[in-house]
Amino acid sequence: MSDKKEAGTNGHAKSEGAASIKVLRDRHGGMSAEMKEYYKELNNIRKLLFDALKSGPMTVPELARKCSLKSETTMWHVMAMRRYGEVVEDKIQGDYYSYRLKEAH
Amino acid sequence: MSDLNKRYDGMVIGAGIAGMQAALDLAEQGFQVLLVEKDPSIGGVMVGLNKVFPTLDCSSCICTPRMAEAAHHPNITIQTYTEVLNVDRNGPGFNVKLLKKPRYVDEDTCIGCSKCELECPVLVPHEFDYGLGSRRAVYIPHSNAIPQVATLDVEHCTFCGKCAKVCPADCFIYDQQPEEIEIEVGAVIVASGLQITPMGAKAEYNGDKLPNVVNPLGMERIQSSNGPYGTVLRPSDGKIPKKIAYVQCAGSRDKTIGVSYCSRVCCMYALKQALLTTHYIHGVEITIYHMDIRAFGKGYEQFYRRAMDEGIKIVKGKVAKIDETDNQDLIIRVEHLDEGGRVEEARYDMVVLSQGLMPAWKPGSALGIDVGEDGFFESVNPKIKPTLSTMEGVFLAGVSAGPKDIPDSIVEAGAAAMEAANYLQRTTKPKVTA
Amino acid sequence: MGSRVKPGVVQELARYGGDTVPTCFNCGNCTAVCSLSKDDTTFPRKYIRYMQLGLEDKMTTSLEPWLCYYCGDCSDTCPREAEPGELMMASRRWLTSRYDWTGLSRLMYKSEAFEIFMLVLVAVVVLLLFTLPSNYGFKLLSQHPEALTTVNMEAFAPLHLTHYGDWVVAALLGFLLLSNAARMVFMVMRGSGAPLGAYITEFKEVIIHLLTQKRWSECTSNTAKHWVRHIFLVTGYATMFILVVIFLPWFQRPDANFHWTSLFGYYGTVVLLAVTLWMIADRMGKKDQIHKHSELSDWLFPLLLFLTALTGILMHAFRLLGLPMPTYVMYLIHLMVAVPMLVIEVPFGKWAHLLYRPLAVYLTAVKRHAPARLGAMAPALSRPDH
Ligand SMILES: Cc1cc2nc3c(=O)[nH]c(=O)nc-3n(C[C@H](O)[C@H](O)[C@H](O)COP(=O)(O)OP(=O)(O)OC[C@H]3O[C@@H](n4cnc5c(N)ncnc54)[C@H](O)[C@@H]3O)c2cc1C
Ligand code: SF4
Ligand code: SF4
Repeated sequence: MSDKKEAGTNGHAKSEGAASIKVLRDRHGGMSAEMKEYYKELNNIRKLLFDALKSGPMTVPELARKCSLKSETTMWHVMAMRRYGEVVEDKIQGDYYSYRLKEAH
Repeated sequence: MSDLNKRYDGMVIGAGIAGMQAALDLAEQGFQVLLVEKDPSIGGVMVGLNKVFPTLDCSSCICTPRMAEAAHHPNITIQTYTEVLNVDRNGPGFNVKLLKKPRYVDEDTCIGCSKCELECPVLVPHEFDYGLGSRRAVYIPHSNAIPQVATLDVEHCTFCGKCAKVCPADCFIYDQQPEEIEIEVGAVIVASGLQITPMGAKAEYNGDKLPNVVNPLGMERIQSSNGPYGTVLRPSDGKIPKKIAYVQCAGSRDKTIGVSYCSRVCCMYALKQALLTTHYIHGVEITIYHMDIRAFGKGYEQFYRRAMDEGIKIVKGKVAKIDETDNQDLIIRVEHLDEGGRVEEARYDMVVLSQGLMPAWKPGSALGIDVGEDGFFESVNPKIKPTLSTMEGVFLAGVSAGPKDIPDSIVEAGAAAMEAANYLQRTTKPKVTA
Repeated sequence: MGSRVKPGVVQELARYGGDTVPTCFNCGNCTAVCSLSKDDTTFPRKYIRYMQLGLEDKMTTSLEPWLCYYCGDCSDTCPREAEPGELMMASRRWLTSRYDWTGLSRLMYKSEAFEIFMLVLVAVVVLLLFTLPSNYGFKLLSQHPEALTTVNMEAFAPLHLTHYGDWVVAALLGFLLLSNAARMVFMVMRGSGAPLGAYITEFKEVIIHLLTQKRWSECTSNTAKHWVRHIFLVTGYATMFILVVIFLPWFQRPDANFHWTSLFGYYGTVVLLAVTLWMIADRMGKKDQIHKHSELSDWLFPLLLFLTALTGILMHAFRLLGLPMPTYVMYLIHLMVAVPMLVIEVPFGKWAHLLYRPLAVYLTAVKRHAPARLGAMAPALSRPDH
């Protein structure tokens, strides 16, 4: 698939540090404070949503209420979970889909 | 070190539909072309659209073959994730300096398996979905992306190193650095395309604050089957919208936001999206508020009539304000011009701001061609030779030269390629092979 | 009956400060953004459309311009930068000139020179009143040498005569203003079909709005500042007017002795000085939409008022200090400012709005009682004319 015409750093022997994530981390001074905060919150929200969904399918407004999250934040995360195969649509309730965890991984 | 050639006949800046077409047309004539794109994938705006007016063809279905054609053409070299630093005149040609941004992935060995993306622990708003959807810190932009290789977004990286561990082809090059590339080219075609007017441009619309006031490109993604939600939902809470309003000229023909021109495509894309939404959501009610509908192209007036026949409400009146209710519905305030000037406050589940087109690239000193009052690249002779920029040997194609739709962009790209070919013939030893 | 289109109106309006009429592309943003625009009275777009087409009869019979308080939201957001707020201002000037039967208003709005000439003319008449008659002004003063050492207003401007003069000015002004207002009512209501009873039941509106200008408080932008200070200005102005027309015998004392009316005089003076200065400063600063465009009439309004208050208080000070000649001269200057201001600006100029605005609210309410008419609003009016 990858095309021979796509030019770039082609075919050069890799340097020693190429496979070491440490090199990248050091070069960028590690995660920024902002990024650390972002990552922490991301994981907190995801944990809340996963736990809530264990009790059964829910719509986004229901999830938001249960987890005390802003509904647009909930929506974004549920859609991310959907994209990466962690949740799927369940039934439609009124004007809303409900979502459930996808059991098998 | 890059293994690009030292010299190309033509360089095309921007690999949207216009840039790809120009590159193909030039390459078909035997010229060696370098196609430079700043994003990880070629395809521009078009590959992210849902369907196109007035034919309602699936946009990515007709754009992807073009992308593949460009990628496989023996005379085209594609350079993605690369910025143009400088274009300097050198005789009839140019010395060009490019900056290849590090992907931290070997473009040649990556097989596009997405294993790294699936393993990466970070979620980031995805540019391709205009923030509505998500991606990981290491990602392949979308299933139609060319090249199908991963890119690591170092700003959002946790430096956990999982990606390299799961990569089956050993592609990660964590010590990659930005690389400056110097080449010579005989002619340049600028096809750097569009961005839409910022969502916050007109403060009264609160487009940058209210989640259900959506950007029209975001709406294209929402409508796409491979979009962020897989179906049409509103961003605040996933409700299936039953009442949608389109606000025309939200980002055009308005001096207070510095965009006094008509962007040409917004009336048509609003009609298109409205019509399609009625196919996606049963019983949806859609109103397009406008100053006048400009259905300027072949078959467009008919399309407009069709949308009205299929029940889209067309209301004359420029929306002045958008506010939010407690449940994140939207209240728009508008004067009904055809009903004696009645002022109405109407409630909607979702409002799409039909934003205008603005140039995506402001090269400043990187490329010494003139920019017009409207911000788009100026043509020396807009009537007779619309694709000639103010610098000899630099040609213009697509929205970078002014608002236009896809067919016009393609036609203009062909014209720019022809002008460039003529220029190359005139100024260099012809290399045309039969 | 159809409406006559008068192409010349656009050019004429330019002379009233409405030079952006052709810029408008009739989108309706201004009307929808306006917080005062609702129900059956929506503006400014519709009125601007009348202006563009030169529909004079629609323009003269519409009350909408008087319902606008120039918060400027429309001008801030007009996509064509057509200054709809200023167009409403221009139409108020134009309407003032239409209501006026003497034709003076029209001449003054169209020619700044003529307006100044009229003001000077009245000032000269005042000056002559103090120099020609033998029983008033400087000739009377020359018969009372003692009044040159101690202030004695009776020896310069005897109260009984001054008071008559007051009444004459008030009557003249009242007659002009009321006859113009009557014309406004006639022009607007002719053929409206509103029942007579409505004129009586709704009359309270005139009083309420004359006293409170409360529509202003419904504006979203800059409300508090402009409305409150306008109310202060009105109270200051009304206080002085009542003092001079009714309480002059107590207010204008021959001597420097204190009288309670002075307290009201001080209040009026302080308010007038402060508010007019503030207004002038704002107009010069051009920060708020309402102050961005100023015609001569907009400057004269606070300027003359300021000078009136200033000369009045100076005269009062000279009298308290026991300076006879400066007191008399300042008194004369005071009248040379105040009388032209009242006689010219109130019936013919910007000040007429003090009556036209409440009347407009009143007449709008009356009109609502009229039976609905078919085709009252031709749909063609809302479409661009090409
Ligand atoms: C919401 C919406 C819906 C639309 N729907 C339709 C439709 O249905 N039918 C239709 O005909 N038209 C439609 N259009 C218009 C259509 O999108 C454009 O006409 C078309 O995409 C223009 O193509 P382009 O190649 O000129 O620009 P783009 O698609 O913007 O491509 C420009 C490319 O240049 C790249 N680039 C920019 N700057 C640089 C730089 N400095 N260096 C390197 N690369 C750079 C960009 O990353 C991009 O890939 C729609 C537009 C919008 C906003
Ligand atoms: S190293 Fe960075 S990009 Fe790779 S998986 Fe970890 S967080 Fe994602
Ligand atoms: S004045 Fe401005 S906002 Fe009002 S209708 Fe005209 S162009 Fe639109």
